[in-house]
Amino acid sequence: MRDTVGLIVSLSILLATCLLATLIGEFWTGVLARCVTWMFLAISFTLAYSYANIPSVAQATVFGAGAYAVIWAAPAIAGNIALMLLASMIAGGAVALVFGLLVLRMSHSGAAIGTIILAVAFSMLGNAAIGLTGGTDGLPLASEAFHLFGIPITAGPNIGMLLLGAVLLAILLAGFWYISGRRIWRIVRAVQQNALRAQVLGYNAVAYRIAIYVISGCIAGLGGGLYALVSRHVAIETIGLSMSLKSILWAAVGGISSIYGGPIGVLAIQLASEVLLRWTVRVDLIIGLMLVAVALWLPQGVMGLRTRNANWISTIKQWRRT
Amino acid sequence: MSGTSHPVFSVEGVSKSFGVFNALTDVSLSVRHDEIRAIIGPNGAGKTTFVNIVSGVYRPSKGRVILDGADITGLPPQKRARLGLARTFQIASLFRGMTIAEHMELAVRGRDTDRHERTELLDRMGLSAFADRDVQTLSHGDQRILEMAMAMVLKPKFLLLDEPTAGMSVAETDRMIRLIGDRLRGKVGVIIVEHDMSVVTQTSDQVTVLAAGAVATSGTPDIVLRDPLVKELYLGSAAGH
Ligand SMILES: Nc1ncnc2c1ncn2[C@@H]1O[C@H](COP(=O)(O)OP(=O)(O)OP(=O)(O)O)[C@@H](O)[C@H]1O
Ligand SMILES: [Mg+2]
Repeated sequence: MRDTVGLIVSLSILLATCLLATLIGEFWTGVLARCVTWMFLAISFTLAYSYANIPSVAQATVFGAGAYAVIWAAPAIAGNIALMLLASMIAGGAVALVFGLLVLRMSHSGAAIGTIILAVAFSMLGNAAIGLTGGTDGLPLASEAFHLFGIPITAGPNIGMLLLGAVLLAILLAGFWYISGRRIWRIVRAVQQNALRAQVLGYNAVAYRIAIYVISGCIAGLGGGLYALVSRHVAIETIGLSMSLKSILWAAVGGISSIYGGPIGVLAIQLASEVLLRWTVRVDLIIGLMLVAVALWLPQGVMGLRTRNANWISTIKQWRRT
Repeated sequence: MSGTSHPVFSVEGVSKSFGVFNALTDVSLSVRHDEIRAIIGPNGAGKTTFVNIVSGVYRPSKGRVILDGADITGLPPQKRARLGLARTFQIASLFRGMTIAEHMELAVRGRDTDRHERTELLDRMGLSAFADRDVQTLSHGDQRILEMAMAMVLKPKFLLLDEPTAGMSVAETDRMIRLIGDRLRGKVGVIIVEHDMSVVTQTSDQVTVLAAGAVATSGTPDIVLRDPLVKELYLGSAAGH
């Protein structure tokens, strides 16, 4: 079941973001570049929630693993961005594997509670291990001559990093579109809808859920890696529980059941926050109220608007056929 | 046990307790490779618990589950399925947003089963006309029939049917009875958990009566259903007619 319209919408948003960044000032380019890294986080939450049945409140921890992986790896691999991002994906995937195995064992408390426990525990661990993480002060990215396959790239909140993030995200979205039409994805959907039913048909539901969660971890880790390159600095609160909650909000606004909603959710909330910040200090309050409104009147997020219309159209079509 | 062929499926001394409550106590029974055995019993007798133990949802507190000579007591549902144990659900459990054809694809697990045969199966079950329709648009009866087709398509060694006619109209029930008679009877080992006595008499070779978690009696339908004990258990309910 490929959602071609969803893909086109999300790619268009991404393209518009890139175009916008070339027109507006440096500050906004930086904001948008960070937004693109968070889109990976939002998408990874949706994937975990909607396809692995793990409503993960620890996605930012996974994102952070990717970010710190880049910080740690940078001096050793002499500014090779491809290798750094690979390291961030592996770190994200590995943390997700551990989290996934633990969470599915905590079956009595439910996956969401399990991930909260992990997020809090890792955030405390991260704070304690100041040598490794820099704690609240964080760690800077070693300044290297960064390059991607020989092309020199400047790390930081600039247009080059924005484009790199956008291209990777576009590849990810297109890849998801492709996979979602394959047989394997039907199995994933079956497991997600009714794990026991899928097991009785011979599918190892737990293995599929873990696999999807690990993939969501690789995506979050990649986002984290890009974030470290854009920000040139990673501190412990960028990976904490409140960041995880934010990722859930992005996903919810974009459409919790559609991968393609992530970019919209991030842009809507982050741009609104940035703009509101110029007028008031009560940004969180206003965003909070907006979210309540979305939860009440737009439970499927922005992407849900489409299915609503689609249902309406198909009802008419059916009615005309009879 | 009648016949000389070894049973394709059996449970030996199976007990299951939830806390201090014994839902099943020392249940043993077996099914030959060409036999249909019905399991009946009043509400709370332990039928659903039995189904869950057979399909691997629960592990028994005691006893063994044997499929084709192999001990499968500790295996998860998917391994049992891959060893040739298929089941249907009391409440049709199909996947939202998928077509009949897609359900059949899931059921064959990517194996190269004969496509022609698959089409023929759907044809015989009267489903091929809707193969590309979302299963949510199917009637309840057709959904149950599709469950049967999914369970049968890989030619399992043993089939567990959990109240296959529950919630069906008279016509749909007849269709299901015919389906079981044509496609399963004498061909594969089957356990049917059933409430409807007329379904039992029309489909089954053997009947096991569960009461309060234990086997009360078993034998051929005509003998068992005439047993005063069984009549008493059902107290003028479905067994009456
Ligand atoms: N998970 C469980 N925990 C505790 N008790 C249970 C559990 N499952 C079943 N029981 C109890 O075990 C007994 C047998 O239940 P079961 O559902 O197997 O009966 P049944 O024969 O299927 O009944 P019905 O005809 O009403 O479906 C009941 O008393 C039930 O309350
Ligand atoms: Mg029951």
